Amino acid sequence: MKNMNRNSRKISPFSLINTLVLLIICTLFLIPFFHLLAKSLSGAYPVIRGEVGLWPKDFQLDSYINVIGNRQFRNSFLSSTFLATVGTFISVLLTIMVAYPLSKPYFKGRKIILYAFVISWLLTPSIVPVFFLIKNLGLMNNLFSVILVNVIYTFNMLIVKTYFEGMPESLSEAAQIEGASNLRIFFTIIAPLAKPVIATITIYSVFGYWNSYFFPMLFISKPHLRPIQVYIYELVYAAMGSTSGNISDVASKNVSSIPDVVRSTSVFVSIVPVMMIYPFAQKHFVKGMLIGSVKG
Amino acid sequence: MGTKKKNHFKRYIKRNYDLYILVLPGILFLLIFKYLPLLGNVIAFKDFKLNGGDTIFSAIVNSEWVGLKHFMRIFDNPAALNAVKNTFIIAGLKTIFLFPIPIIFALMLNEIRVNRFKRFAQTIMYFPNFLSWVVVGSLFNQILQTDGLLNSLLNIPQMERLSFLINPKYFRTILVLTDGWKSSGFATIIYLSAIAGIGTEQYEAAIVDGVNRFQKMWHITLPNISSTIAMVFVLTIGMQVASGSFEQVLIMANPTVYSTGDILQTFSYRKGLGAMEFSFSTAAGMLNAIAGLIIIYSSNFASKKLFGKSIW
Repeated sequence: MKNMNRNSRKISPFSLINTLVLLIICTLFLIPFFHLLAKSLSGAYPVIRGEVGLWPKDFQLDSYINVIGNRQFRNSFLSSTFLATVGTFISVLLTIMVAYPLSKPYFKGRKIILYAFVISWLLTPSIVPVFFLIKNLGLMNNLFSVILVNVIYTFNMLIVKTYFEGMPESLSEAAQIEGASNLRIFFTIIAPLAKPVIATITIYSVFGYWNSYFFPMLFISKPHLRPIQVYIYELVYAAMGSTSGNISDVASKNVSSIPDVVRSTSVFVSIVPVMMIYPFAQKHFVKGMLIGSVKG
Repeated sequence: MGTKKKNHFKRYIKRNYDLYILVLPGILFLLIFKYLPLLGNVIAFKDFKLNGGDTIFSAIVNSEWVGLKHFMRIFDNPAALNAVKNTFIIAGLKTIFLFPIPIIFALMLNEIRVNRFKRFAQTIMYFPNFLSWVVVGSLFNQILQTDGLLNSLLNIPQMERLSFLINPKYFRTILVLTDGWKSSGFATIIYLSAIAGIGTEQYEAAIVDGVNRFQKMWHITLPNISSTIAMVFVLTIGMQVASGSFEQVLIMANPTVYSTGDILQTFSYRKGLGAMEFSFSTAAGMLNAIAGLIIIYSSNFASKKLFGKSIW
């Protein structure tokens, strides 16, 4: 408290300028959101005439009712929710399962498997072979294609592995002496103690699946299965008059009649879940990054 | 001796066979979804045709080896060369302009004494990082399009208004700025936590010596976070070439800006799944992956040598 008082009495020119510049930067960061929100809450005509800046004109909420009531939007929302929940569950489970043995120095084959993961991370295959692989596995128009194609992200796996390596061996020793299997030790002792790092990669994964666009666009063509990003893309970009070279545009030329208001509203609703999870993310993301980057 | 070793191994297996159960799904994933398509990259060295066999496998096997023909074609094809050039220019521009920004943001935020404002600013800067490129593209579309916010702010007369998104002159700038908007906050937070980890004794000693704010930043803060800076550099520079701009360009670009905006990955995607030139597309994709690999590998090596830190 004393500290605060001393500081607030003596404001140096540097602090003032620094604070002002940061305020301007924050405003620049916020403008796109306010503009979007204002458009989504405005009437159709002011939006078309380009009169809406950062404050809504002819305020209305019908567009929100429209978007939430739209079956295609809801289907896409559900598709992405499926990816973000089921996908994340599978992804996190497989990631920690691989990371545990790799954290044990005595685990034979550790080096090879570790290198195999790092190489797969750095050397990405070209698009054509991946496309034909999914096609030949019969996973086209199946959301599991999107889940499986990147189910273990090497970076996440390395973060978890580093975390496990930092856990004292004594945690599992007692159970080992009593004859518990590694599987049992892992699921009942180790995994519950690794909650912080599991929270971190869970959040990475939820956002990763929710925001994924490319693979869903490539693998999912049935309209009722299209994840939200593909839906939003088609809504926003296909209307711009085939400006993009994307293949998925061909399927959606009929959206140019959709008013800008509905478009803005759809984009806004699609980021509401992101905003809701964001506070948790902020907490765990940094922690995870720090765990992962401590490597001497 | 031999039996002893054998017994040892037996005991190891008996005790640890279930560790292999734990890694099995992960290994299957690697083999099927990562290494199988990597093997599929051989079509870059062949004249692959879909109808060349009953199954995709026999079609690949039956297709004719052509060596480096498709790689050579990249260097004969103006559009491909343009994409190669843009890949490096865009990655370079992003590195030059976006790499220092988070360091500056972190130094500025670190000087803020009012914790509530500091936290507020971090929250704002960090958020766009969690949005997809589709959403970020849409947000800036609204601002940059013909009847968008920027045109009306600049007071350009209705008749002369154009979308900034169809002008090749502006496209790279737009890529750099939107990427900065989306991802600066991420590295900023990493630097801030690195700064928070610096011991206060160093600063206290500096105060006794009577150094000013900027000298403190230069002589204490920056050297103390140099290894973090190196780590972030290694992570971003390789990714920048390997895949950094793919979704962004795929979503934001359109044929009018290909001259300055098309990169190898988007080119490879259009050639492969649009024009069905599978082998050529795969060659372009491979070239990109290898370039990225070389850059990330050498920057990691340099970081290890210079700062004793590496990401693997």
